Amino acid sequence: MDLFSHLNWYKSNNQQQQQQDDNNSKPSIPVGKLIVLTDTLQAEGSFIIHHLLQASSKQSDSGVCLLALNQSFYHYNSVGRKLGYNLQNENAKNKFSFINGMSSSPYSWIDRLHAQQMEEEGVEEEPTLDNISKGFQPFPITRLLNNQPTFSQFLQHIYTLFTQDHQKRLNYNPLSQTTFIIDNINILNTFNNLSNNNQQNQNNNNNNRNNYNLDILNLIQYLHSYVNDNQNCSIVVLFHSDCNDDDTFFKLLQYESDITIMVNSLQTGYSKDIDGQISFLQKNQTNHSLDIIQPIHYKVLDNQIKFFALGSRMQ
Amino acid sequence: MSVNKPTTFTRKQPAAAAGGQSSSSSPITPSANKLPGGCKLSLQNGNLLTSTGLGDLDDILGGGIPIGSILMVEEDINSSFYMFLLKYFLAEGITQHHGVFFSSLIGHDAFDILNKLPARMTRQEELDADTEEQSNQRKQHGGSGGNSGSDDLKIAWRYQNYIDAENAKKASGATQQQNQSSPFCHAYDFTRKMNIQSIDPNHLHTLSYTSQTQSESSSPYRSLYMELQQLVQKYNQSASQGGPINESTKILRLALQSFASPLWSNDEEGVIEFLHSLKGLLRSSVSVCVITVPTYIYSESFVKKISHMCDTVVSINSFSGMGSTPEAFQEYLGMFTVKKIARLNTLAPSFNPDMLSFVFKMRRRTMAIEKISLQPEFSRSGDSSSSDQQDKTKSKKEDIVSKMKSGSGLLCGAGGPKSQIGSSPLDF
Repeated sequence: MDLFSHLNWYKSNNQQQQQQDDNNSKPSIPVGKLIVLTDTLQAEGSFIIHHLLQASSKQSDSGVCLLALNQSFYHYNSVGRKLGYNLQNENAKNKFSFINGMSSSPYSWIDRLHAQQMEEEGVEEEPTLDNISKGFQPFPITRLLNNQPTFSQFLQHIYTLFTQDHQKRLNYNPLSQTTFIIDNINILNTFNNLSNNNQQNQNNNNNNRNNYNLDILNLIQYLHSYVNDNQNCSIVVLFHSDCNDDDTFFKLLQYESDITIMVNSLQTGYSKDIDGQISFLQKNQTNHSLDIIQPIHYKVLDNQIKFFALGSRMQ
Repeated sequence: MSVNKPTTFTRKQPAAAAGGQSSSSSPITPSANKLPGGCKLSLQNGNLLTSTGLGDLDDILGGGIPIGSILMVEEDINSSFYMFLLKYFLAEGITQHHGVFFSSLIGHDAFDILNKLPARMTRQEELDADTEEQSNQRKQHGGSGGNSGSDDLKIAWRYQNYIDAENAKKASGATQQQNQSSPFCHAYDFTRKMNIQSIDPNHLHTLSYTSQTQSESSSPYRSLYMELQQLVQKYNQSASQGGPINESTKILRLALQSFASPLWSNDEEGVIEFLHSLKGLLRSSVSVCVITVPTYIYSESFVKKISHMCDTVVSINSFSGMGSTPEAFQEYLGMFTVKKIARLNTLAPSFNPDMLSFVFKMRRRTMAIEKISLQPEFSRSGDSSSSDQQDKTKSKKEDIVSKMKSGSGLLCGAGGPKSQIGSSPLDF
């Protein structure tokens, strides 16, 4: 049992063939959907992202564009090697692109203050970075840099990065499917701290701080309608649901998404044998109601993820 | 030994001895040679780990802190046991000749802390402390103290050989460890101060704040980050000059006391921004960071936000700060809880503990974090019964109590705790 069989996420090359022969269908991420992944501190949901990357690597015509704000590329790469896919090869095959939003100083104030620091010390030339500071870069990685004047423009920039990547992949292979993954959208909020510009802007910013969630929601809506129009891509976002005092944003996300995958720790507390429970909330396409799908338990091991029905024994 | 008539049963003693000698001259395997000082590879996932300075904590965290990660310690209320953890971390850095950075964000003078680090205990002292501790415990428990100076077993006397063998093994293990050039984690004695002469000033970095420097820049977190970036990159630079990571690589330990304290800066968004950029910085570096956060002054959701940005989160809480000590944990000082387990370069959590809550106590010289274990009900009530009651009945009951102590407590527990005073030898 895995996530794809539980949610019946299958795709075959030929629609008629699918009915005749179930074996021919392959697990794949559904297209045109917004998939929201929520987790908590006790039960981290990032393993599902690795699970999706694994499924995508098994298909020749599906690609992933990953905006990583929470982990370095080295992390995704070494987990991938344990799970049996190689992100470097995937990238060479034009199936995987990585946008680094963490370990490449994504904030413009870092660059600005760094320049200032060097000026004070009287260093003219930028010293070349040593191998360790450069980080793990087996291929040129797009760097996310927040040098936009406003937060919404910054989010637009992310939108453009995604759509450009999608178009590039379509040019390469017109039949390809793309999944956009954002890990995770909580960190996007921190880019809203634009006090680097000027005092006035900062004051405005403080007034608008309550609206920042709406900016992010707008981005997600834009992406959602983009994937809906194209029907050959989908969007997956990870969200920590326990970080906000009021859960309006969480509810709005659930309302907007086609399927919400909620990763939670066990209500009975920590257990060594089961990591937590995954519950699902799926939008019914016919009458637009929200259906609850049977929850499942999971256990993350070093090189595989085990999903199993409630009450069943882990195989 | 006669080697004139070699049979199949002849031991090749001389040859083996010679081989042993030659191999003992190079006991260190080449793979162990490559690691920087004070580091080891994780057994579970191959991450490079460094010690927290406290062996118990290392065991709980799956061997140590992974290089490139942030460990967050939630500070305790009304006491400052978190300082012990921080001091262990700093002391270990100095003993291992790592680079050490310390900054207190609530205005303590950095050298106030650094001059009062615990002194290193040698292996022999450590053992002495252990035995001292054991004999203390025996004295506290009164009954069995008198008749068993050594580890004599009365009821399960058949296991006496086993215990003797274990003790011998422990002693020989100690001497072996002494012979090893550099252990992973040292022991420290809080009754003595570390010799300040042993600190290498070139690798000790501090940062203190005056109100002047704060007003200069827009956000203090940003200027703190810039300082750290410069330092971390300096260590990266020197580490990468010697080719790949090897023995001579210097690890940098960053310690921030009372991070995110509102007294230092009121900028809550800046905290998250700082941690995000720090995490990015540390991921490609030879550094490791410990921050202590006074989480009890913040709302739960903000604490969660901070915790999500850190890799491992632990909290320490004293019973005195929580209100009262539970009856069962009289000998302990408080709770130690693991709140978040790092996932660094691994799919599964970096370590998979049996439980997340522990208890800690202060021994005379050191801190100890132990698993929660409830003693058998009968023997526990025996421990907590007042001493004068025991004194009255001591002469009569000494034997009985010692028998109870050695494990038969549950069997005769049917009479309830109070029956201990009035119990007669016929109960057995």
